Amino acid sequence: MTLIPGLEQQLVEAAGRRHARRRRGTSLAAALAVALSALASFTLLSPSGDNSGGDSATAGGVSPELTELLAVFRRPRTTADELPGDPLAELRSTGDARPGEDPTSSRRVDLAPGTVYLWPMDGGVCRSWGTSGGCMPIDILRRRGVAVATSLTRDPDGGEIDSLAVAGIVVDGIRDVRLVREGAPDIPVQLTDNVFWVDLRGVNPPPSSIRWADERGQHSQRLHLF
Amino acid sequence: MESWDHASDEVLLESSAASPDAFGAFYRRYEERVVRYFVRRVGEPDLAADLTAETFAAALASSHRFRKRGEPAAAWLFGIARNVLAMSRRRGRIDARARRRLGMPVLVVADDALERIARLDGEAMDLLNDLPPDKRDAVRARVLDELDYSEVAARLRCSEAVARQRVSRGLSDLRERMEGA
Repeated sequence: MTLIPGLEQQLVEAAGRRHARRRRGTSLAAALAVALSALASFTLLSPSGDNSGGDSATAGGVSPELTELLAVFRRPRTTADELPGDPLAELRSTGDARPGEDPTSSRRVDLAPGTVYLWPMDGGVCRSWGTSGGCMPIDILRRRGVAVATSLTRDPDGGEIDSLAVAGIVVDGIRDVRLVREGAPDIPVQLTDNVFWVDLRGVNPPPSSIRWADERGQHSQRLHLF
Repeated sequence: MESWDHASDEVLLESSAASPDAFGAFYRRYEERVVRYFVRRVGEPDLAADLTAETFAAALASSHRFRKRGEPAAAWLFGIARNVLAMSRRRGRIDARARRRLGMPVLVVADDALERIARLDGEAMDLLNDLPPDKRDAVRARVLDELDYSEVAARLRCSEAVARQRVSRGLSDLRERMEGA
């Protein structure tokens, strides 16, 4: 017996519907292929045919300003960068996406606490780390240099802290990022591909602020962990 | 009906497109682990059931792309689970997009099933908490927090070999206690 009665049946039926659609689609695709090959022959033979091709499928949604700001988007994207599941289709099917949100242009960064994904939206960047995530306008990111997020989860029964972490996006040129603690040594933050993620479970005292440096000088921001 | 119970995860996923029952077998194989994963993180059995349903729907919707990623099926599935949880938290509601795309009806989970799910977490946690501290912390780090052995070792301030030993013995103890429970 399964834990969630009925779910297995729903999934099997959904798989069956997909199978039936695919079979219908294959027949339609075969017919389309014949029609398209005829059209392609005509285009190749036509003196006015434009054979330059198009790049719309690989254009992606990474704007020049995002590429300029974050080196991680300047490296070529590989299949390892893909977000799990099918996030683009899900966003498209529900209209639930931020304007221009494009998870097909995601970049994956593996860090000690887990995997971070970054992907673009119009005028901004979205991120997912562990079970947290969100999007940030690029002008704020450019102005601040570091976009910090914290995450705290508690044991639902005892109120004990399950996870405590700080993560962030860091634009190019930021250096010497540190978590500052009162009465204890700073914790240097390792930057990898414009992101960081520090697991703070068991860190006592926890940091009260984050500090970093860039060409304009030193900057600091309070952390609100609890 | 063809039996898929002994097929590998990879075969099940790759066969799902042509044989819907293969995905049913994949679901049965991982249902409990995914439910445990969610109930541990959200605490509420009904939310855990909903998130589980969305995770498997998303897995079904993208099962044709599984092979491309070149990772074990469990890692791929829990990657989807993490994404579903992150997206749901980000939007402030349980994601249901994959289920809508697949035309799946709203999941109604009866009270007795919710009780079973709640007990699932409670029983396992009670048994885990009864382990000696070194084994408990090792199992918690490896299984619940999904850390690599090197990370478990760093957290427990011991060598990787010792961390592996503690996890192994802790899991062995847990199995014995579960069988005896």
